[in-house]
Amino acid sequence: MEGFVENLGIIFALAGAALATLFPGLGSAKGVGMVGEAAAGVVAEDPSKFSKVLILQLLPGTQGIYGLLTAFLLLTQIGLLGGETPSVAAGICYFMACLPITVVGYLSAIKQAKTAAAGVALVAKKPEQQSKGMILAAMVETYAVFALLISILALFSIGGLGI
Amino acid sequence: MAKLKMQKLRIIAMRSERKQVLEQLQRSGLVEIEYTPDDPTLLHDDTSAQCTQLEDFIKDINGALAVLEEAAPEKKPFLAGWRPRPVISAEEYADVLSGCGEGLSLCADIERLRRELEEIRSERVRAQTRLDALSPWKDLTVPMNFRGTSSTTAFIGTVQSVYTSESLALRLAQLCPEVDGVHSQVLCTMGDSTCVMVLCMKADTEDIEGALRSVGYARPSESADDLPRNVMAQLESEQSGRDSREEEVRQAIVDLADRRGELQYLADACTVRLEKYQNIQRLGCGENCFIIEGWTPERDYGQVESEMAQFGAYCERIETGAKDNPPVALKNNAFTEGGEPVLEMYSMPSKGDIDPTPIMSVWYYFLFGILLGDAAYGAIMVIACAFVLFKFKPEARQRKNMKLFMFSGFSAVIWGIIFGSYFGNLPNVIGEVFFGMEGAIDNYGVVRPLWFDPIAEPMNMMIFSIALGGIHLFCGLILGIYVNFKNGDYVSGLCGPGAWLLLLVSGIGWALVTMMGDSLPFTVPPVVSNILLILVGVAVVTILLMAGRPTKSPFKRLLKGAYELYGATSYLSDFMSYSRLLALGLATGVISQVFNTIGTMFGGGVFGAIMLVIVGIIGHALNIGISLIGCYVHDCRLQYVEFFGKFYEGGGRAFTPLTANTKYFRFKEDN
Repeated sequence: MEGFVENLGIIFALAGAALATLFPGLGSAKGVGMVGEAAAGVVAEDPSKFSKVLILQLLPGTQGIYGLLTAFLLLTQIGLLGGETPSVAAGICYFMACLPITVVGYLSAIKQAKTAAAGVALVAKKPEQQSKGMILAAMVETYAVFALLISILALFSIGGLGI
Repeated sequence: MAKLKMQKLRIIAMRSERKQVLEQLQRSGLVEIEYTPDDPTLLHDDTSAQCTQLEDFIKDINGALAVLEEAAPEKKPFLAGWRPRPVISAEEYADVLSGCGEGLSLCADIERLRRELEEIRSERVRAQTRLDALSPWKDLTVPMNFRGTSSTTAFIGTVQSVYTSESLALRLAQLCPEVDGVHSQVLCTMGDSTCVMVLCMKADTEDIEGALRSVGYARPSESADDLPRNVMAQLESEQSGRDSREEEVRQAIVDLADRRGELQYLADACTVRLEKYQNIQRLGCGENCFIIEGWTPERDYGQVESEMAQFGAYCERIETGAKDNPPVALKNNAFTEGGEPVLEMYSMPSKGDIDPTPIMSVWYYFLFGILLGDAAYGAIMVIACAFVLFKFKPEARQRKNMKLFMFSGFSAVIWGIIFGSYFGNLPNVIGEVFFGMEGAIDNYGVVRPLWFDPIAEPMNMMIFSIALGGIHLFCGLILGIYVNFKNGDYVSGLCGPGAWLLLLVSGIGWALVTMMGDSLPFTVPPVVSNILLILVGVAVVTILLMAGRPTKSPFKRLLKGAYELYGATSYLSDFMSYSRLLALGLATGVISQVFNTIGTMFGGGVFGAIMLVIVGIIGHALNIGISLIGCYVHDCRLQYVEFFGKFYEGGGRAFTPLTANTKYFRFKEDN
């Protein structure tokens, strides 16, 4: 157990980075998979709609990227890819900073996938309305964007707290 | 600019000229035909039979084209979707239509070949199934339907569980100990069942059959009167015959693929005729004449009139009243027409709306630049779109989309320079890693942002984004006042968007002065803050008293006003919504930094340079793709929800003139 308490800071920070990669990534994987299944059905009927449904399939994939982004930024702050090893308090702060994108990223990816899958059904019937399906799905992403924003702003400012 | 003024018109012509008149209207594509209301003196010709027939033709032709596409995919030129379709004159169409029979027989030929192919394929599957069923029996030396000789009985079939010849004989002997002279042969085992032939004396048939049933005996479905191996050889030779026949039929289809153009031509010609017939139903016909009522853009009225005069048709303007709902056509200049696809996706302007495209498109380009915020990505967009625009000269719809992205890309170049982002921080990374410039990445050694780096100073970017969003919102409110004034509703204009504008501007002003007055470089006289506070009060009272204007009861009116005032929370969320300008810009910027970092993990030198190029190309291509989708939809959202919400109603009907919505060729040059 020697050194465990002193290293709690980095342990917490790394746990935050892991969660931020894991959950939005899982959500996106699940979401992209869901839309992909719906899309495959449409492509089976009409292969020329592939490019249209592919874009819809990509939409719930961004949360995974947001999570990755947060984790990467965190790694550059805590001495793994740059920056300094954080104190225990700072480590817990980093952990907290990761929570918005971790939770909202996961849930919004799945909700967005449902909307995008409905958009795929829309494309099956009215291919010219694809962009409307995209907009509807993108409305959900707004909240992942907000969560990302807060996570990143927090990550950047923790270093300046001097804790 | 803005909405085209529409003129309602009436055309009266002789019935004998109907075909020519309609074809002329279709060719020029300037008139939308309205269904003339039921008038007992006017007849409506029923062309549904012709329409159905044409629809069937189109379906057949498309079916034939699909067969050709499967057998011999059409070689499309690079970026085919962006190239304009070939133009075909009306005369050429008429020629094709006269040769309609030939095209349809070609369709029939293709359909026949397709059926033949299908037949061959299903025969092959059937034969293969039979081969599979026969293969366990290939060592059998009697035909499958062999039932025995004059003194013996043969059982050919499968029994449950695995046996050898000896173990089967033993089992049968156990089951019928009194029976003698039984010959059992095992041909093969399949999983947990065994293919067997059992031969016994005729007298023992029943006993043996009973014994076999108790071990799960079943006859196979196959019952050829030739040896299984002969049947199989026969089937196999047929299969190879089928292969060559299939190849022949496929080749026949491929040979017909050269005539694909004819079919595409014909499909379009049928579409043109179908649309004509569909519109005939809308005309009011008398005994010798017919009447068209419809809409045309005011500026084109003269052209329609002179075209109609050729056929001795009479053309007149109809005065429009308040209950008329003219269709909407947009006309914007070369710069702002890029916004039209964005507007059309939302909704066409209604009667009371202005065309927001000129202002909205400028905002769209502007905000897109901030959302993307990378000069190199923007330059790639500009180059790609300009290439398509100038090289292919695409049709109107694609042209507008290309312009949308070209001007947006141009804006991204400018914002990228302001924020100092060229493939993220690539120039500084190269400077530090390959040219030994110490600290180039952290100190912007190679390129400096013109203003500030949003990644390094996200709070500044956040304030900037929300301030910019405020201007966008105010712009929407000012347009709201303008629209109300234009429609003559001055009270609504002043008490609705006007009061909100006053409230927001004075409220924000007051908050700034009171909270940050000390940090401002100039001193604000206290009277300013008081004036602002009074203005806030005026705006609040106006909204409270005037929002419920139509309601008579003063109490309810106040309640409605209070509810309207509660809408201030939605303005808060509108402002916050613009923080996506920061978030998306950050995401794009940081992802490109990530790829740049990964690219330089291999160090400097030639190998490092090669790796940086490889990682860079893959990574930045990926980032551009993801970012463009994100910027496109989030920019749309800012226009639709935050901006349009302040002044735009939508719900107008797009102008859909009688023309030819053809698929493969263009009927006329579009404007």
